[in-house]
Amino acid sequence: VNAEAVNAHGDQHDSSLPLPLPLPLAQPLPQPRPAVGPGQPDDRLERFLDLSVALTGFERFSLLGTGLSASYLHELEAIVPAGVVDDLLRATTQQPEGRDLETQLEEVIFADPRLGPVARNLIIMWYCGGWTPMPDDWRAVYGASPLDTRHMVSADAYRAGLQWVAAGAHAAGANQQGYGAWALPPDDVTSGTLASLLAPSMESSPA
Amino acid sequence: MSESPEADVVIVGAGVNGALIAKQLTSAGLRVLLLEAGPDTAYAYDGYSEHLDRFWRAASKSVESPWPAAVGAPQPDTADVRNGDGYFVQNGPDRYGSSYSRTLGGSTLHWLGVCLRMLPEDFELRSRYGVGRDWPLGYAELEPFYRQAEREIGVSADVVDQAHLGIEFAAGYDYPMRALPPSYSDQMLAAAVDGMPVSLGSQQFALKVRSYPAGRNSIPRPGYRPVGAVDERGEGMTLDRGLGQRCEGNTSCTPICPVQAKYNAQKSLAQADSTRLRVVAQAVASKVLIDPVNGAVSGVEYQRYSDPNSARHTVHTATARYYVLAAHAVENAKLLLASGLGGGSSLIGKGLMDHPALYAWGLAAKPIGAFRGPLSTAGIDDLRGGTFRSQHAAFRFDIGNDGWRAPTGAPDSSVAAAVNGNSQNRQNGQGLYGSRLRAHLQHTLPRQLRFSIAVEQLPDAGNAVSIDPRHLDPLGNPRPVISYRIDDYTMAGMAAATGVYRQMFARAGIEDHTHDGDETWFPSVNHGDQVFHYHGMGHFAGTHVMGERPENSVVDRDQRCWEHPNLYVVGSGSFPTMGTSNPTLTMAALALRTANQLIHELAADRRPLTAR
Repeated sequence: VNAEAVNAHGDQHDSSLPLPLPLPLAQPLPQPRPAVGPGQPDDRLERFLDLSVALTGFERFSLLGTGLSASYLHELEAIVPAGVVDDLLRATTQQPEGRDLETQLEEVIFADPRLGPVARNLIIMWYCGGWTPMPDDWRAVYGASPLDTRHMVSADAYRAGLQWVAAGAHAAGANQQGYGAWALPPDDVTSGTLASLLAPSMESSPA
Repeated sequence: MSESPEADVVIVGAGVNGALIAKQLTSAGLRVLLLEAGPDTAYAYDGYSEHLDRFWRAASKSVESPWPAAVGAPQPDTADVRNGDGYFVQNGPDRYGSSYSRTLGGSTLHWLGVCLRMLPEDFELRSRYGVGRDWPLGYAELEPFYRQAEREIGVSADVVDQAHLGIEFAAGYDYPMRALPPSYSDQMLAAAVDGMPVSLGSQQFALKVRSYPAGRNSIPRPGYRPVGAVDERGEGMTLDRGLGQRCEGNTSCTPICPVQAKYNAQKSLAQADSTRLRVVAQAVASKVLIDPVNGAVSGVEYQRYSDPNSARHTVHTATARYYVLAAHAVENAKLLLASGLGGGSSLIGKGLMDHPALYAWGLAAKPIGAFRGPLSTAGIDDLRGGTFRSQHAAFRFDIGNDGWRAPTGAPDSSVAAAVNGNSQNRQNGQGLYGSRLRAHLQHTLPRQLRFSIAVEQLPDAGNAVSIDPRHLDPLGNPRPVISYRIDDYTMAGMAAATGVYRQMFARAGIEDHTHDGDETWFPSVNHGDQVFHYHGMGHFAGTHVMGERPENSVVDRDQRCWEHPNLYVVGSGSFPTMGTSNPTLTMAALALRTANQLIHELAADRRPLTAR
């Protein structure tokens, strides 16, 4: 059957849908960031990783393992106004004394009509490897970039989507698990790969 | 007919039918010219890899995402079905929900690979149940060709699983390769529903999860060597490094198998005798030419384009002793109509069928390992046959291994729903993020289960492909105009199928989420107070029906056109009815039977070609 997956996701099929132009161009084309000197940590990328850990629930190790941190930061900077990215990155680093991270994220990011939708898009980018257009009302207020279209960041990004890890699976059409692997009980994704290797959980055994 | 035809046989279309016939004819020493409307960019492995990359990069992973259409050979697209525009001109009242691809290898490049034989009773619907029509040949006659087709395609299955519903196999026969292991999800479902009683009409059934025969490489039985990835290029270079000789669990049969462990028609083409085969890609057959004196075909006019992005083309004529149209149920009908042929019975294009299909999806109580393995490794097909067929359509359930991907676009849509606060789980009234998001997805994605329910559709002369000079493609060829209606017989089958899936979900502890989200893009039909959202399965059939007499059919039992003795029109368009099996295996069996016929005829019969 071929059209068993006459799938057609419930969303836009075409990434080249007309944009609601004319709208102010949010920013000039992205400037290349100055190279980081030897031995100097790229502070901005570090702060982006801190933010991403808080937003995705994945450890730094997993995020770095995708090889896509810099691409995602670049993507974000190319699409949304620079000030927005700066303020997002500030949220996790300029945390007031005594306030927990969750409260900080809720109040500074998710309760903010300017930052909240961008953070949600960033989460989706990490999980799915692609960009989703900003909501129309956000674009109307904060500007629309011509790059704000539905698109995958890259083939690598598709394959490295965190959603596949969360599912205990692999990207469809890549990173195959081998003949017959599908017949085995799924990994217990709630306990982490290493833990399940060391002590196979009974959670996922047949009822 | 030309004095010196350039080939013994011209074949139009390099899909599964054209490729199988080309392989058989060339192996028998005949010269074949094969015209393919679309490009041949996937024939060399490097090109195939580019199609794979295109799929990875596509924002929408639709069936067509790896396989773009050429300007000169447009094709229907899932998005068109959704939007009601595109290549097809849809006249309604219902929307025809399927698509196909025009490229070397055809739609087998993105088929699922399920290879169920038709049931013996499927060939005798009229005699047995008073509905539809009978085929001019029966299961027993086709059985040897089913075996041959299973070998050509490379089908993995065990006879012990498949010998039911009256299906019999030749003594000692088994499939070329062992059945693929059932997915963990299949095993879980079987543990819950095997033996479940169902009543339809006056009959009782006991359901059973069965492994699906698949055109997908598994462990071979003695004497069979699996055929892996194709790498055909000029200079006779071929690839043989074992790639694709076993399914690797890419969970992407549709729209593209990365390693070509799943059969595609390019494999058959690559096995043809290349010294006798000439393949011309980007050659769109535009007219079948007829000798007005004897009614025989004298040539096929075709348009060649060198740039797939342009409508610029040159016009040529291909000549041969015999002609085979293997262009697809819709394209065959379109070409016959555009050539003004087959007017006698006025049946060309009429009787268009599909398997209008329903999705059902839910959350299992425990992880079932969704998103792993071939998209479907098993199904429940006990309700494909029975006396209830005098009242309503038969149906079967495919068990998906890819979560809710097909109906909802999961896992992406599941992520978006959770992040944007559209799912039931919310953080402070908003969407989820951080460790709660991750935990929510880990908790739900591995439990996603999906059925595709393929429902039978009977031939109806009102369901038709026609042409209209007002609707032309960029090369000036007619676009298919489609009239389509889903009747009560099929909708009553949908109603029965809905009852059965709900019974299964309840018994297996699966929480039903079917169509519980936002509005769906799927077309709908109303049956009493029930609404069914359906989609096509890509199972086009019935547009040049075969039969016993010229008055009630377009082709005879050998798929020879009644009115034109040197013209064969092959494929699922010849099916008088289609039961509930995926059509590819049956059309492959018919194509192999036709190839036999052609070989005998070309070798022995030099009589002048006159209409019968």
